[in-house]
Amino acid sequence: MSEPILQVNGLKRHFNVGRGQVLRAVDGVTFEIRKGETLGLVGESGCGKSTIGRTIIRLYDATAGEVLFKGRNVHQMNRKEMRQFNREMQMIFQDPYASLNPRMMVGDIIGEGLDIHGLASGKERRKRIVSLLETVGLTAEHANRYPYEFSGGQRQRVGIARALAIEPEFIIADEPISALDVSIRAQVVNLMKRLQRERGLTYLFIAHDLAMVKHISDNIGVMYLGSLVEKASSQRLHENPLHPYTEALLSAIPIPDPQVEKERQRIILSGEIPSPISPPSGCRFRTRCPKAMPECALLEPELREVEPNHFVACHLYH
Amino acid sequence: MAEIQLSPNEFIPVPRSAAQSERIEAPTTSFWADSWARLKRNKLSIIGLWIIVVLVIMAVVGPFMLKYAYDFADTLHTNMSPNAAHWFGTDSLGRDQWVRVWEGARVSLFIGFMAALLDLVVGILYGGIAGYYGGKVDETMMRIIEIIVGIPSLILNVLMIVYMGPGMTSIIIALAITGWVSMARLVRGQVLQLREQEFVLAARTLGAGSARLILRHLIPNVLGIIIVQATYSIPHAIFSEAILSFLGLGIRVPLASLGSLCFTGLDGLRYYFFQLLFPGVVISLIIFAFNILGDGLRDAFDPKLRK
Repeated sequence: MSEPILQVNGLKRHFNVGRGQVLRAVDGVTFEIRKGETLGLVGESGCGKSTIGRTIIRLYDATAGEVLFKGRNVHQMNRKEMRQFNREMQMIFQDPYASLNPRMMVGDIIGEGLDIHGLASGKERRKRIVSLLETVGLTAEHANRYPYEFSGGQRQRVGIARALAIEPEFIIADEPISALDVSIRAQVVNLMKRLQRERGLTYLFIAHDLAMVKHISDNIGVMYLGSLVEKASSQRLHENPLHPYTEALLSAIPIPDPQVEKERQRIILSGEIPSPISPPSGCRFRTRCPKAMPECALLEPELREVEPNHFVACHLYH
Repeated sequence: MAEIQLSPNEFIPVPRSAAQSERIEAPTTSFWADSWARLKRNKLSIIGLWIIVVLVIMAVVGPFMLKYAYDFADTLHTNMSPNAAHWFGTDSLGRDQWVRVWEGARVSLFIGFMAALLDLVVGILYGGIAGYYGGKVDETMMRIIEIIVGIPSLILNVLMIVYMGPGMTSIIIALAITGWVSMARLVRGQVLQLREQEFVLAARTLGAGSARLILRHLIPNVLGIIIVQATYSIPHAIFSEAILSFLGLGIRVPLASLGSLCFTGLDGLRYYFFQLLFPGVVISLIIFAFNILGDGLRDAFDPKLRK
């Protein structure tokens, strides 16, 4: 097994929302990702997935905990180390309509990383941009166009090309397909898989759709209300989901067989996701958990390894 | 009824390569070229633009079209109606009105442009800093703005002019001191909104510094709105100067602005209404033209029409 390239230890990110209230977007999350692997992070909207991504890449400061990238603490880097770090870790964003500057030509958007880090200029820059466009299935003639002229899928690929320009090792994909049409999601995911094979990239793939995440991830982490409730290999998580929340999420994936689909029992969770400003005591999921026990309200379950590389935070298994 | 018999072999797929399906056929246009094209389609705004162009040209060359100086008093020919020698007539001191109106238009336009320019510089800097840094900086800077807004602008203008003494410079500064606030608020709001946009975050993860973020990402995206606001603040400054002139705090004689010409014209309104008519028409045209141009620009830059 290769070395972990990214280690996240007890990461917390809280936001002050005024009147002394604190929103615990990410509340003590620990995981690691090995080089060349993909960790899929799933959970409902507002569970803190995107905040984790943004805190890892230091768009946000961490409230507590640490992020180690190749053994270096990201949040204690100085200016020079940050510059290096920016070249090694990149991000693909969710909204292809908001992630490209409408006043810049696509060629300049892709070339911005090259300009910032002084990697190429003149003819060489042009050549690199064209080759990046071709990598993501676009052509040289697209370089002199503005983002508004592109379709959602094309824009997302421009976003990928921008991230690739400075040849990072690690890419955080923040719901890269959730804003796209179903018909082109596979196209983008397959492009990302191909790039991973060709360039040995490591991904943190954030999504709210377990079906897609299964397709691309080696390991999957399931989040609920700012903390990780289960983490296992993609295959194991689907075969043997332990946490009631994971079971519910998995049961929501439709099966492409009308007969089976008709007879299948879905687990419907009652109620809404509680506010991360005042999460429930003990286990955060207990208010919606079909298997909740009295002790769930008292003690917060820890993430424990119940079988090799299968972690779960639930009192049922302790 | 004859049924149409079709078999699958009669259908052949249209050959279409992957590269073809990615092609974009429409010619590319930049934001500015596009906005200009939209503005050109707006007839009223183009009329406004032409009025402004003509008035600016007249403000420059107008005074030289007749041989009189703006402060030359000919006491033998006072209060004349428009005629071949004095196209707009003369005032109560026998000064040529044509020359004075265009001289006044020049002064008014100059005050308008300069005050708007100061608004622009101070407003963008102040609003930009508040919006870009956010948090406590923003909080403090916005409270200061609220204090300034709390004082009626006319009182502030009058105080400033009384303090600095009358003259063109003090009028421009007095107008700018109250005028920059709305620009600053506008820029601050826009920057605050843009700062969280994903393309700005993307630039930050690429390692872009503040200068690059501001110059390449933030300013180009607020420039349209800034230009629209500036187009409105020019007539506002001209109007405010006219009000100050009405109060006797404006431009000093023998120099004239459109406001002071209206003010003097008012004295002889009953007998020599031309003295009020011409400067009144010119100032109205200026304000009207800038306002319809501003409306047109706002429509042309509106990003909601895009996408």
